[in-house]
Amino acid sequence: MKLIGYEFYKIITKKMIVLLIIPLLLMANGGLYFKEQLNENAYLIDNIQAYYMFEQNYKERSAEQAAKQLEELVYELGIYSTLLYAASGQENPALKSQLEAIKQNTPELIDKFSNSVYASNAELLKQEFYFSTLVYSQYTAIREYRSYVGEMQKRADEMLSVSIFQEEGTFSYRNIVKTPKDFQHLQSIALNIGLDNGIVSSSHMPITDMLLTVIIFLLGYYLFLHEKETGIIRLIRTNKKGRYPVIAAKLIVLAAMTTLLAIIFYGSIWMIAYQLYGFGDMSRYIQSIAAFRNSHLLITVSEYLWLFMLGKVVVCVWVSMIFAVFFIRLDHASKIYSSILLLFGLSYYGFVAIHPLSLFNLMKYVNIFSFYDVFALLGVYRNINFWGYPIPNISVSIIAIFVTLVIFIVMAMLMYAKHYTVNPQTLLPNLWNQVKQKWFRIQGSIHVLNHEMYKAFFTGKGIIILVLAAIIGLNQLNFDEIRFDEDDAIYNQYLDKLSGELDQDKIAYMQEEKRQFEQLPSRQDNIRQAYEKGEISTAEYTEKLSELEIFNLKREAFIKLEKQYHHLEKLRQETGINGSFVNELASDYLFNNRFKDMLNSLLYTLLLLICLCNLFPMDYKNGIIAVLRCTKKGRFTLFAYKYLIGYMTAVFIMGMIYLPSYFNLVKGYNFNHWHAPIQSIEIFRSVNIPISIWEFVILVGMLQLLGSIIVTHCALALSLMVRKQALSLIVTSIIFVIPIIIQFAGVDFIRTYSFNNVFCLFTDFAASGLIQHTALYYGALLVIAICSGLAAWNRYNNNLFLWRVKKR
Amino acid sequence: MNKMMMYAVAFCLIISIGLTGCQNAANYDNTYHSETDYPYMFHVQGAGQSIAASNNGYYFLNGNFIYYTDKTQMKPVLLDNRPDSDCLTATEPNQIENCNAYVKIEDYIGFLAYSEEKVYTIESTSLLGENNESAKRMELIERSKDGATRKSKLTFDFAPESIAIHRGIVYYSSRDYSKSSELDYQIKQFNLKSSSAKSKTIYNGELPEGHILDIIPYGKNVYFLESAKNMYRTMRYDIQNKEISRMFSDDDKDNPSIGGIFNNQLLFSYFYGDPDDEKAWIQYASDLEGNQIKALPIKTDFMQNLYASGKYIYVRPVWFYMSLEKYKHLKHEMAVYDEQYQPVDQLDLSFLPLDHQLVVGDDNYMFIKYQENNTSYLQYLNKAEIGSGNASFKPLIETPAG
Repeated sequence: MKLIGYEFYKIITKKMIVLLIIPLLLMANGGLYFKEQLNENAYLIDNIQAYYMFEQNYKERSAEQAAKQLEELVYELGIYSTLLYAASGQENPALKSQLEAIKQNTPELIDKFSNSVYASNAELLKQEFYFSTLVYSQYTAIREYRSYVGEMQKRADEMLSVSIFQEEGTFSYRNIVKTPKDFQHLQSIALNIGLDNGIVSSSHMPITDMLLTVIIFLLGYYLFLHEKETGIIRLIRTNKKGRYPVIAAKLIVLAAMTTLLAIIFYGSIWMIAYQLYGFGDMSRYIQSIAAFRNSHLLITVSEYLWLFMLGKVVVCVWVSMIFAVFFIRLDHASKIYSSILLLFGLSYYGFVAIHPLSLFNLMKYVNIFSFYDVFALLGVYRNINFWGYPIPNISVSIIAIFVTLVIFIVMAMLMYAKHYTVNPQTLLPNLWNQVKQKWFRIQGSIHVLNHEMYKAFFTGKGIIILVLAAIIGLNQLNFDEIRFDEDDAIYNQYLDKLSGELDQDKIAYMQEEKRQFEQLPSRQDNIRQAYEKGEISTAEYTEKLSELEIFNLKREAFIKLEKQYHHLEKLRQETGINGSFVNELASDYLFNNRFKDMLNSLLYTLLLLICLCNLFPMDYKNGIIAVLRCTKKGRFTLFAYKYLIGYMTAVFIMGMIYLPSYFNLVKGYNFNHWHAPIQSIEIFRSVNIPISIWEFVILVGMLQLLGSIIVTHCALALSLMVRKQALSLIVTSIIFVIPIIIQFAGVDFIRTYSFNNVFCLFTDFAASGLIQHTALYYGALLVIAICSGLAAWNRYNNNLFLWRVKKR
Repeated sequence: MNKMMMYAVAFCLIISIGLTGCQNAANYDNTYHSETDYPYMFHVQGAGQSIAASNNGYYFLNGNFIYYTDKTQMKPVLLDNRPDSDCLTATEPNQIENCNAYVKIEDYIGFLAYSEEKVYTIESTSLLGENNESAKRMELIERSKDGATRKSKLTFDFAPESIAIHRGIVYYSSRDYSKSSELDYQIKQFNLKSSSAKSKTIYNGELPEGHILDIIPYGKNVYFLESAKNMYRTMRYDIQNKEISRMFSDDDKDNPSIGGIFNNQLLFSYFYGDPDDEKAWIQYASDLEGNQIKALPIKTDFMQNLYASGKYIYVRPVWFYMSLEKYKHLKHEMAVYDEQYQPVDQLDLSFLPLDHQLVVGDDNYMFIKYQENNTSYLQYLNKAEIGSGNASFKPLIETPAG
């Protein structure tokens, strides 16, 4: 017990984790959920009490009666909404036809609406229409569920009537026989309506999973790696209880802390969800909620919530044990970080890329991301093909988690007690040392910069990351010709003709082309009529028709072109800028490619941080910094050169990751519009500086470079603050990597509140277009950079006392 | 230890050489093998294949879903072994796409084939592109015959215009443009049985605005239609000799096209640009190389589409022209002839919309597919009823159109 207490003490006395990181991440967790819900359901959240009063009215009636009344109400209020909208003076063809339909089918509702309270109270109409639709959808879900479950046996019998499903001993046969039995007990359960937004939204919060994973990594660092880095492990292992009892205590503390944090993090989401929406009747079965229609578990909402929490806790503990194995087996922070990144990367790839019917689907379901998706485990019935036997996904997951959990615990204990790696003398490092000594010795100059570069890239193995970046960059270069489909090829042909400023000739060409498309049906009719009258032969008829059909193939491309034309016209009228036709296929490839931008920024940041986070900590690890600082060039010169190496690394990796796009653009596309105003590209219509495309590309490139230097600057400052490689990896990941993943997951607003915008400048200019916004953003970044630089310099000189445990 | 290693290596070599030797030698005979060969009787001109037959039943691609029915019952079920799946009534896109029988075809015309106990479809997918971008591609997907497992066999940069699977090889036409809009079109082949196979070009088209349509492999031949502006021609690729030859005529004005294959003979016709030209009404037969051409004794009063399967030949007026006032008098009927070219029945097709597909089918059934009111319909005709005077199409599947 004492050992456990000490291990606990180690964690809770870390001010950085207890007072800074956990509270910050907890706030981010809750804040992001809250903001997301506000974005999606602001109206419901603002009127939640009114909603419950509305719902209560119908709960008091029988389900059939309530559903019928609601159906009528939704229909009526829908018509009222149309009438009210029409009364506001709006005019459009769809509205006109709707009004006509109302006049024809339900003229009595027009009078009824005029005499109702809704005619003068739009807000009431909006609210009741919204609420009635919401409650009616709940009744509909219940009604559909009855027939869904009731007809399952019938569907199974139909399936078994065909020969391909009749082969006993196959997965299909067994699955068809098993499924109705698994749903049998749900045939006549009592179902009740209730608002499900709180339950469903709090079940889908992958950001919480991600933040907890970061904290578990941090716990792993303090429990395992910290002792290795300080060398205290050698002392611990020589003690009487220094092996099995110590590792047992560490694992218990890791599991307990993980459990506690999981409860706090997921619990906080529940609390917010409950405050925003409430959970409705907690004793109703989950099948009352449409999202749980496919669940075969007979559990109530409250039972689901507890099982959800239990599931999340178990998965977090399971992940913590995986981390423990990595921390114990590997000796170096960057190796641990890279290995865990690789594990998560592969798991994610398996989770999203493997089809449920793939032969390798076990890798999809026995997978970290699948386990984290507790909602799917509890709420979606799916049998996995296990050598021809249908095994429920939830059973497979539970078995896999518990078996591997035991394996990880045993591995962790054995590795800690028997083979704890402190300085491994394995084959690869020896080989690396030989190569390093033979090929990468410092020759000639012993300039501080040379020496520091040698330390950064060879001693600290940063060269591996640079080589990796170069491989990624080369791999992205597309030397093959880019091919186009027919629509795009026609569009390219149009652009060949129209490329350049929009002038009278081009306007005339566009109008003529449009006229030809508009006249196409009448020309077809004319040909048909001429043929019917015998003026042309059948051969001429088919030939002429075929010519028109060939012309019609250009329609898709022309629609795209016409959209650009309208944009250029509007641009000239509103801003006076005479824009040019710009190849949209090429401009979309470079400027309007969110997925590419996000993936590149993630890749760039990860590579950069792994390189940077050892620059300063490596001197602190063995205490050489004390000696270095006493030397002539050991203060500002050394400090500045380390920063310079960081900047050089940032520039190099940026070149490798980002330059291939430009190469591919020039080589693969017909893009010769570099001198056109940037506003010619529709997504950049709001850019408020007179600038051409090539100037814009250079501006964004320079800003991106400046931004990445600021990121480097801040990352180096953080690594200097914490002085430990592992810690700096964690802290910089929280600040630079996690926001990118959150944005990747769809939370776009985080872009301007993080460093993400540095890598999403095309998106930023497309969204706001105001250079003032960018200037403000970069101003803030520069202030942060200056502050972090000053703090780092003071920290380097030991003038700044941050998060250090007092030496006794 | 070294000796042991040597023995192990030698053992592995012997096994691999043995396994290589055991591989089936390529089959170059000119007879039809239903297990491995392209089911030419399910080919639809211009549309390829979307119905396939196994020994016991049929697979259908209707809308976005694959169905299966036994030949004995003709009661189709979705190719999904999950009674809990309710994809046909689901409204959420992800619920529909989670259905095992769902085929994401988007704008593509759709393809379904059955070969050596595997079902093949072409589906749309998003992949990671060369430069980390999300790229839209088409994939050839192989499913087990009960749809319980699937894997991706081949990725296409552009949707193939025509595709056929024959004796373990996929033949498909590919068409794309350079950045200066220069057209390239070709036929490629891909070996389904090789795990390391890459697509290989077997023919590069050179006609301006050319297309390759209607790839129909039979025996050791792959027939295809190469079309360009105001002309088309029928070509043959000899699988054994790897040679391409032009068939039936060298004159660009003759426009020959294959209608069907009947008793190891190619049935074809010419089109000289005018449907009223009586020469275009004649149907011909030739051997599999396109030689020994002879006119068929089938008398018609207009240009006809010809189909052949089992013991019957079917002809009907080219229905495209029937929408014209001039040909309104023509009845949309299908005449059925026996092997002696004697008429045996007349089928009413007047209920069909202009846009439809007729699949002549095997010895048992004929099929018709069409769309109306956002619903895909599939109907079938029992060929056993031919000659009885009661033969008619019956509804088989109705699916919301994709």
